[in-house]
Amino acid sequence: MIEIIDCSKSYENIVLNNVSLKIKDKSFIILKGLSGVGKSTLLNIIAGIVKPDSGIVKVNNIEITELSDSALAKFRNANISYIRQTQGLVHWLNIRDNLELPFYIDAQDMEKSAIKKMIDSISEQFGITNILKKYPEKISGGQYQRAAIASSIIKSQNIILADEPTNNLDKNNIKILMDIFKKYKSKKTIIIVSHIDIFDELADEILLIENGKIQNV
Amino acid sequence: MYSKLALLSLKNLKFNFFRIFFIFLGLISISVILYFFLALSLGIKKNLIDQYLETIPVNEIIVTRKNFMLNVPLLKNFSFSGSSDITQEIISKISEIKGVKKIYPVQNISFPVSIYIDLFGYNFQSDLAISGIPSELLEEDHIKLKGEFKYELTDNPQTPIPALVSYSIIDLYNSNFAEANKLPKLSYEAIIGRHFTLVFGYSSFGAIKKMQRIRCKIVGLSKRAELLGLTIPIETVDKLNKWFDDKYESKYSTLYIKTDKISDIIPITNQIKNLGLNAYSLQEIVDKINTVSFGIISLVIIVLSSISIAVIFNIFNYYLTHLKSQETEIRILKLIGFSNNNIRFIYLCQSLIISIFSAIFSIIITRILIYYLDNFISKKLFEFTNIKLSLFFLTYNIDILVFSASVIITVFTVFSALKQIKLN
Ligand SMILES: Nc1ncnc2c1ncn2[C@@H]1O[C@H](COP(=O)(O)OP(=O)(O)OP(=O)(O)O)[C@@H](O)[C@H]1O
Ligand SMILES: [Mg+2]
Repeated sequence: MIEIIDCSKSYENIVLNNVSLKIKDKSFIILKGLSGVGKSTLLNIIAGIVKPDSGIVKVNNIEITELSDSALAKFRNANISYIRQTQGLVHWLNIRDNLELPFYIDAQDMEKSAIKKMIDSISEQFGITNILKKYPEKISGGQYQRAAIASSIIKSQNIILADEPTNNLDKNNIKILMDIFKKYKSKKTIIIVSHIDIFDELADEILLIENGKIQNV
Repeated sequence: MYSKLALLSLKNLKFNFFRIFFIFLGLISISVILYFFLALSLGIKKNLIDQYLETIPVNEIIVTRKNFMLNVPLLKNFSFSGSSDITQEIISKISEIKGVKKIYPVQNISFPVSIYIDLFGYNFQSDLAISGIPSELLEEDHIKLKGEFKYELTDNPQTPIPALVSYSIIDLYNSNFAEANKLPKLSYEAIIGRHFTLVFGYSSFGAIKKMQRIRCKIVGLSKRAELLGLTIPIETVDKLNKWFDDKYESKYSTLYIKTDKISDIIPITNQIKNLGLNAYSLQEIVDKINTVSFGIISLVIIVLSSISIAVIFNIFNYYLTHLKSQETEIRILKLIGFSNNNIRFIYLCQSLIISIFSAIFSIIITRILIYYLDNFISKKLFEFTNIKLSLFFLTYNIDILVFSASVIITVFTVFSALKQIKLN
């Protein structure tokens, strides 16, 4: 369960104004709104990347607004798959290392062969097996986006946050992504920011952000 | 987990190799300069100053007569020179000065003396200077005496006078005389035990009023011995002076004065100077050298540190640019679940790797450089001056110092650069 209670966030102007929101476990949520209304900001607040100016954020009953940096990092690594809107890969690591990155900070080391198996299966699923040795700047936009998504969800955490995951993807790739989300529906909590309607059929709830407030559509 | 993070910093280093290579070069340049000057200044101290210190103890004042010369240019041929002798009276005055522990006088034979030398079948006669020093002075001196030979007088008039020679007279004989006359060279030991005949009251210009032949035996070598003559027990010198001149009153050319404390040396030296004598001590010279070298060292330190600060500032900027170019990556790492400390660890580890490698590299480079440079310089120096001298001094302590300085400076610099990066 994700609970946002009376949260406000402003930069130069108010982005979120006293917002409250409850997201049940294993629900499929789609966030919509015009550019710059605060969709990414809301995802960042849920992931603990951005601290709200006021209010409380609880994930699985943990008040993440109170956690220390290292506790927050552990929480994120264990619970959240975050698909970024842009630039999802570390450019000084090749694709294989990027996929392995979430396992680098595990307290108890996973077995190498198990990690390798996971990398192999996910790269097959996303069609990036042949570019594993390449660096991010040497691959196409679609390959980049697929690799970025693969690296975000490889650890299969229970909450998937996806910020415009269809960016740079053609129809075929959108279909791959669609299959993934279908597979995870009702198994994980999924929150997708998307301006296209393609995921709407899967959604339990569609939320609209407008003037610093969230509305059910 | 930390080994994996270290692996990440290596991968980052590999990817950004060119940028980091310049940091590497900068680090090497300061380390090499630091190492070079440390080895040079230690070498100068060790090989020049310490060797000098070895010849004369520091806690000693050397007092000599003050020679004066009066020239009146208008009155041709009127010139007057003389010296204020060190008499028994002056010695007792000096011994009253507080802090003076012991006085060792040096007395010279004040009339002509010749020596007959019979060396390898080669006979010759020469004038020479003879001085006398008390045997106690040799007790704490660098002297080379062989087994049964003793610098001691016996009552038996048949036993020859024990005599000391200086090292330099042997060197002089070997390099000039032996060479010119095709005679075998002498080692320091070989001279000990040889007998010579001294003719007191006789010079190359002929006998004066009294003459006396006495045998002498070389018993050892001493740094205190007359440079180009012989040194014999002071009692004998006094006796001979009195034999030659009935009215002779004991007077001395030099006094070696030991003090209770090293700190007394300079004030006592000044008091002796006030008595109208020349007085100097190695302590004084050491003080002067220290003042001069302190000046030089501070200058070098100022220059070195301004170079270092410039280089460190550059490294800082370079590393900051390196980090700034990776801010997006740092954000991704945070999303994945890397904590701020994990990220700091990656970059600090990287700086550690860079600094360790550059330190090892600089130490190797400088050691090789110094090895060849030192060989070259000392070879040249030996060709021209016959002096064997090393200008550099290498010890593991310098390695350790340069190594830790390099590591500490780099890690500190990177740490400050990391502070400039917003991790949240
Ligand atoms: N780090 C920041 N510093 C200053 N202002 C920010 C920051 N992040 C976001 N903003 C501002 O907050 C507002 C909301 O940004 P946000 O990225 O959440 O919008 P969005 O809804 O995701 O837009 P888009 O659909 O274009 O991605 C924008 O006006 C943006 O300029
Ligand atoms: Mg956005």
